[in-house]
Amino acid sequence: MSTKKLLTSMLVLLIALTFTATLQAESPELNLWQHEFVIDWQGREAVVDFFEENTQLNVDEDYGPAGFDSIEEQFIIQGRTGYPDVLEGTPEQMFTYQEAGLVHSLDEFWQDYEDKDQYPESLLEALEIDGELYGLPYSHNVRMLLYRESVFEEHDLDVPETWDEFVETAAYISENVEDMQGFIFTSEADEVRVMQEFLTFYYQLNNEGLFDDESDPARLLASEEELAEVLKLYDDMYTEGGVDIDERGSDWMRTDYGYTGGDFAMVTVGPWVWGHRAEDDEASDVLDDTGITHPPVHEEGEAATFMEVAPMMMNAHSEHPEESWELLKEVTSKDFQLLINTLSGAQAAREDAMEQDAINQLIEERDDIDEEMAGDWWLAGFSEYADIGVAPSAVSWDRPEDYIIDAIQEVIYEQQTPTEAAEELYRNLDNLDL
Amino acid sequence: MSGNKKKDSFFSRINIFSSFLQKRTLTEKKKITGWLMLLPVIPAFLIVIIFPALMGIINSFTDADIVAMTVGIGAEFFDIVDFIGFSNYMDLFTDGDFWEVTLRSFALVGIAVMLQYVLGLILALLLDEGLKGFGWFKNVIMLPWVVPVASMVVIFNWMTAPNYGVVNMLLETIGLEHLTTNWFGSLAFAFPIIIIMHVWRNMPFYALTLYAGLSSIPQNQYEAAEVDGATAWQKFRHITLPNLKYPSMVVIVLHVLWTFNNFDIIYLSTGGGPVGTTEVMATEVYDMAWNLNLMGRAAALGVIMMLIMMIFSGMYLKLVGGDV
Amino acid sequence: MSGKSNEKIITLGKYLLMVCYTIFILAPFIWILYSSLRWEPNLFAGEFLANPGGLTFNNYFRAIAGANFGEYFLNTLTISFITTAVVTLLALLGGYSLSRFNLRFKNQIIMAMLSSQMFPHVLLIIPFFAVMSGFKLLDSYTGIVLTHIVLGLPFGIWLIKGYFDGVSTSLDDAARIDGLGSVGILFRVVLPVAAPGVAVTAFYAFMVSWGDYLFVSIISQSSSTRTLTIGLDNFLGATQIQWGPINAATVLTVLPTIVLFAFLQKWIVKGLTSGATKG
Repeated sequence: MSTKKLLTSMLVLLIALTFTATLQAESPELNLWQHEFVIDWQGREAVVDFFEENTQLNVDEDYGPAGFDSIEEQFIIQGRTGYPDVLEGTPEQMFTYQEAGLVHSLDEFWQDYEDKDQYPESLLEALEIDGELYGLPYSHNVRMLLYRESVFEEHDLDVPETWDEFVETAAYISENVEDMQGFIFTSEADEVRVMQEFLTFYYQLNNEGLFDDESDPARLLASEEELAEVLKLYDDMYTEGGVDIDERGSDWMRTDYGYTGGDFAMVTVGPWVWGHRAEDDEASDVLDDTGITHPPVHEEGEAATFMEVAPMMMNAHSEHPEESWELLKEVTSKDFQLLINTLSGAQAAREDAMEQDAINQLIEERDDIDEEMAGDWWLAGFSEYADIGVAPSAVSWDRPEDYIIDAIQEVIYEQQTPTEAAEELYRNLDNLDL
Repeated sequence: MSGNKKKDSFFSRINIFSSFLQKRTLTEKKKITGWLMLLPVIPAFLIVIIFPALMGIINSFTDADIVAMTVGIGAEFFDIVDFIGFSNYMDLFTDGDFWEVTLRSFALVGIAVMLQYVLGLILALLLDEGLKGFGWFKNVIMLPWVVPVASMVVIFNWMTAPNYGVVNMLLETIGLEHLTTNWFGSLAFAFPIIIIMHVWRNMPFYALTLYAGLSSIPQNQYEAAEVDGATAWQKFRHITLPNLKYPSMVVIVLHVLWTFNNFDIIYLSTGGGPVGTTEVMATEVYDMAWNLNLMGRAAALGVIMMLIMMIFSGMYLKLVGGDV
Repeated sequence: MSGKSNEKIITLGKYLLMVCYTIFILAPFIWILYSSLRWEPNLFAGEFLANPGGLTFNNYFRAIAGANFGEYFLNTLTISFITTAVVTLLALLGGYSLSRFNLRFKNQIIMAMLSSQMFPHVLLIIPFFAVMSGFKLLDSYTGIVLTHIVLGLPFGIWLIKGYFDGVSTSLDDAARIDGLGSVGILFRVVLPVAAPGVAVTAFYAFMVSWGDYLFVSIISQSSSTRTLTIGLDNFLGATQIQWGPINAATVLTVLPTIVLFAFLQKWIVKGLTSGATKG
């Protein structure tokens, strides 16, 4: 008897649970995955409020997963269900999504877009695959050499122009400046920043890029010698002491927080480290003491650097493509871009959102933006060299990234010479069927 | 029936007698009650685990890639993928890294579980002593297990970082400056640190389970042994250990499976580096599935892992006593 | 042979060992707790005590605001409690059934349940999403709870079965003569004796649910079902980590379980019943 009772009550419980669950499931009209709405940073509230007050659309107030990795995993798993309608990501992710048929080509909408002239051609090209546009540029950045002006002045040093000077200067600083290391490479396994830094230096030898994405499968453009040269730079940096041997395998946090914490005299990063000044006086001092210039150039190369363009994309399976396009336009609109980029210290992708007058006006209008924080000289420093930025080829970057990081680690952990590692890297990249 | 070897002949005789009776008198109807008690479990398993696992096995014989991953399951999936027989398996076996990574998985599981068990058992015995002043410790002992892996890794990372990391700060303070390093990036220390994180995280659960086991050992067994003049070691060897056989078995199997399949501790802390010295099978599976776009091969590796674990569990359970 | 000084040394050794354990297990927490109370800039000072501005609860306020803490906490608590209750109940029934009814395929059933933990979970999530989607269980407590039950149950059943095996069937028989049914025997006779095992099982189930990230991340699609482990992601940006709040959020995530454990571990006490009840 009591067994039956127990089982019945459990069944009732289960049914009740299922019932409440179905009641919860009422789908809102549009879904947006935008990590800056979720992740905790100093401008989040202002940005979300601005968006929610101004949107003409019915957008669910839940803005998806917080991390880029989670966004990619979950979008691949559930993109086909049409959820979310609009999402942001990295260009590398966009290439992957496109391959899987998950993102909508924007060409049909783009033709009639009144603001299309606001976007520089180079940024649009970075988000094109086979001539079709798959994402609206949302923000962009180039990697620059940041250096500590006071350190260079005090020790009467010149900012390095060439790789040789670079290695020499970094080693000199590590040797002679107390508690300071000349430079830092990010070198952790499975860390995308490592590949980006590698490309920053590689592009100087070959600004056509690493792969020719027009051919199918994509053709490797690099020569074994070029790869070896870059790997040799890594090798030299560690053996000469520009980067401490104990900093091998360090992650992006070490690079960013180490620089703003005053541990390094030089780094190659993007404008985002500006955000560190929000909480930290020491970081503010370091940033105020920072000079910005293009990364040192290989003796036989030309100035070039890694450029990243963040795309805002539309789900190919969205049930509301028209409304999704409207949403895409809203989150890339001038006013919104102006606000979010001024708050986060990122470079906008639209020209009208980069105008100094507009930024100044915004700072005046809103009292939640600290003038100190706006840092126009900072962004200007990056914008000055924007045209040497090279965007990654439109291929799926996961495997190349793996191989590049492997090669770097083989070299800096002294398992292989730069030449050996370059030989293997060349073979691996050349065999890829991208 | 009771798997315990009985020391007390009177009770064991009653036991044998009653179980004999029970076997005879248990009607089929009673057995149905038994099945009913198990019933609610079965559909849940089918839905959540068995079906997805079957899909995984099917996947391992296909060339499934990212496109197939977005489709999930259903007819469309079979349109997209091709069945390629054992190619994925052959690719794995001929891949230079496979054996190395497999061995490293074994090493990680072996060392971590052994350390956890020994340290956990000692801690359980200490808890059982009821040392004065440490009563509160039982309440907080499980903390490591509750910390989400992501924040555990971020915090360990931060604590071991050069300059502002507490580990290196401590070393500097006690004058061992030459030992400071980037621990996760060190060829010599990356793997040991991974093991330490595993031990830190899981050892308390061993302690707790074994402590619960100790708590249910009847005092009279010890009293009887004392009357016979047994030494502490003899009591431990002949009463404590045999009584802990079952919880030990459960907790070891649980953690062998958990450690073998865990990818996020390593993936988030070292990403398998430096130069692959912390790469294990579980991180390879993740890498293949999510980064290298080789879903089929990842599934094949998953199936191999499952087979290894089945063989292990089967052998282990046989070894420690026929009746699980 | 057992001189007093000898015994003292042993006791001292035990205390020393215990202190080592305490340090090993708690030191990271104490550092996290301390860090969660410091102003963020001091975290990078590279000094132990430098605290210009003193200690602060600022990180806690930010953690609570930034992670939607209240809602996520409630979700996590609800999901974990239901999971724990159901797993414990089902494990009691299942464990009892496997221990007492001499069922056919008993060992195979246990192996089958264990095998559910043998396939890498990363590979399960794709078909798993399809199943959840098919049953309309996405973004629901039911879906998450169901998953957590299945994750926690195999070891729950197995563990409890072991403790039940340790309880002599003579008790059952006596109770049966008194007219109790199987369920009555289970709850009134066997359960009190096997309480430590039940407590461990309950705690295991709770932890599985409390700590799960992978499955919740797939099932949950809105803040109404998101849990604390997912909420922690909000502080781990791609270019910036909110170190203060992540420390505070970790403390906040962990603290409630201390309360639970203080409660549960009272069940794990020595000598609940006299030795005579054991086989």
